[in-house]
Amino acid sequence: MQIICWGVRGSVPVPGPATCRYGGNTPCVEVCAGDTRVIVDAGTGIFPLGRRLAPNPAHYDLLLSHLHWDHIQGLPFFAPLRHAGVSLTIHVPVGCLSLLRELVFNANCHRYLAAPFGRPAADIQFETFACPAPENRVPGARWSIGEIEIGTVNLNHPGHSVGFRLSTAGRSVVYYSDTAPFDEILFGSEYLGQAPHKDTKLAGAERERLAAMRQAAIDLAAGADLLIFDSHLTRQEYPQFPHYGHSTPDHALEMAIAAQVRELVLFHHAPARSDTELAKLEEQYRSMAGAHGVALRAAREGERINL
Amino acid sequence: MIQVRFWGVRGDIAVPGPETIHYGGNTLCTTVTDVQDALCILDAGTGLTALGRERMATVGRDQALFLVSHSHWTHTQGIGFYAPFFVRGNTYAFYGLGTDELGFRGFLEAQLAPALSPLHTLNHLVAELAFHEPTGEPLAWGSMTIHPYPTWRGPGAPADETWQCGRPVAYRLSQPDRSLVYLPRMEDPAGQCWERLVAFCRNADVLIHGAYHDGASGQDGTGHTSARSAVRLAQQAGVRQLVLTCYNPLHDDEAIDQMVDMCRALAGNSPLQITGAWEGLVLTF
Ligand SMILES: [Zn+2]
Ligand SMILES: [Zn+2]
Repeated sequence: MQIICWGVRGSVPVPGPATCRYGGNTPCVEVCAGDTRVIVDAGTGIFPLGRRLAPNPAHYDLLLSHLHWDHIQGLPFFAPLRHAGVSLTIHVPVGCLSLLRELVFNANCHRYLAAPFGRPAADIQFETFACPAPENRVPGARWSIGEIEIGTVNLNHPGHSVGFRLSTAGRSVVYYSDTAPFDEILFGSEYLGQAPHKDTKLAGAERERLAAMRQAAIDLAAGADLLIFDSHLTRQEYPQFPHYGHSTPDHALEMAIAAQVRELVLFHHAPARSDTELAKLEEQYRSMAGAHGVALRAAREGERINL
Repeated sequence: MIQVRFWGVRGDIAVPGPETIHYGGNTLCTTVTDVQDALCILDAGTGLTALGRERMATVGRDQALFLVSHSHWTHTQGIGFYAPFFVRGNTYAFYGLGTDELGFRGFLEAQLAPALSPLHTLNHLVAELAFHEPTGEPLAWGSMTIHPYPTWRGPGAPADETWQCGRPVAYRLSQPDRSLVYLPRMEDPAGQCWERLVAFCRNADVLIHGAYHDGASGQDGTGHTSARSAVRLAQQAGVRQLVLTCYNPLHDDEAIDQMVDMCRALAGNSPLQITGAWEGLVLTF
């Protein structure tokens, strides 16, 4: 199994000299096993990936975790879509289908972002999957794409986001790109523009719902070789932005230890985080993780990870 | 005095990376200020993020006029990341086109819908934002007068022809003795709008224009303008300085260097000055 991160940045792409080392593109991860290639999320990172792939006729599968712009904004610019002979299956959470269609492939080409080249020449199919709330004790959808098995789970993020496990022949990578810690606030689609008062107590039912969500996320990630996890905010920043729906490296590490994964990959770096700051964070958390027998790296664009 | 600064010079999609370090990888955002510091923000692409950081650090109370040339996501995607929008007391006016059903504000709202953005709605921006659709009427801002212009308008069109969504608007910003035209995109597939466009740009000191492709055949029909037609427009309109922007995301620094050189060669011995805009470029005239 081979994994390449093409975009590692959260919220908005940040070009410039301060991000050249870790990369400024928004989320896109390529996972290959044998002849199967699965692309996870379509942030701006899918643009350089598309340049690498085109124009060979081929089939691609794209998994979308949710429709926040940073996870779909590259899709209309994915070069293989311009070629007949290319086919793409886009796997989306069931509630997202109609909006996605309208957004990316709207015929009038004007609303939102729409493909700049009009109707794509490639053959595009949509597949939906259901990801029921974990408190219902129903596991998320599972299916196979070629040689890769996919598992899903709901995460703690405004508007919902989905986490994926991709496995093949005893190797696996887990992608939890956008999630808040599971001990606080939000899930679902409410907007928490102002941070809730710090003495606000969650109702018992909410706490239970979050605990079930956390357990389901740990279960799906259990024993994975690689856990790619939201580390948008530092521990120091988190109290200012508890409503952002994003995690800290501390929470990422706690989940990695709980799920007994081999290596943690810090992901969805904050736009303002410079290469220098990221390198420092990486070093700091690498030694913390090492104490628990977990390897750690901060996701870096273009880096190839072989499992 | 008019001062122009470039924060984002890319069309379509932001392209981070070492190959775009010189010109920059952010999508369109340009600022224009006058001597009283009245701020105009031309398009709100990802370049707006860095502008927001600078405004937070340097001004107490922020106030600006946003002129959106095209309501495509490329030109508006920075809106959720402009930090001064989250400060109470800051005030902004926006000009741009929406759809008939949604209007301009509704159009931007649709781009920030809960499924697409954690912001959910423009109402969560605590600053005061007002939205307007340009008409043929000029606007006043600081010491500047601003004329919006429908780039698709051909001959024989009635003066009140509707301003249609999705079509690119140009803006001319003038003081009594100087002026600048902002025209990153235009729509003139059959060439019937050309004469009017030349008249609109007539004798501008600075023309900021798209240079998405070099104008070789087979590249038209994307709604983007070519470097070649930019030179032609600037020369026919008697513009003093042509500033290229809205670059193709496929073009790295070297490719843009070559395109700028090609434009200078096309301009030959004419007095037209040609500059390829880069992030951080400041022009004062
Ligand atoms: Zn995200
Ligand atoms: Zn998100």
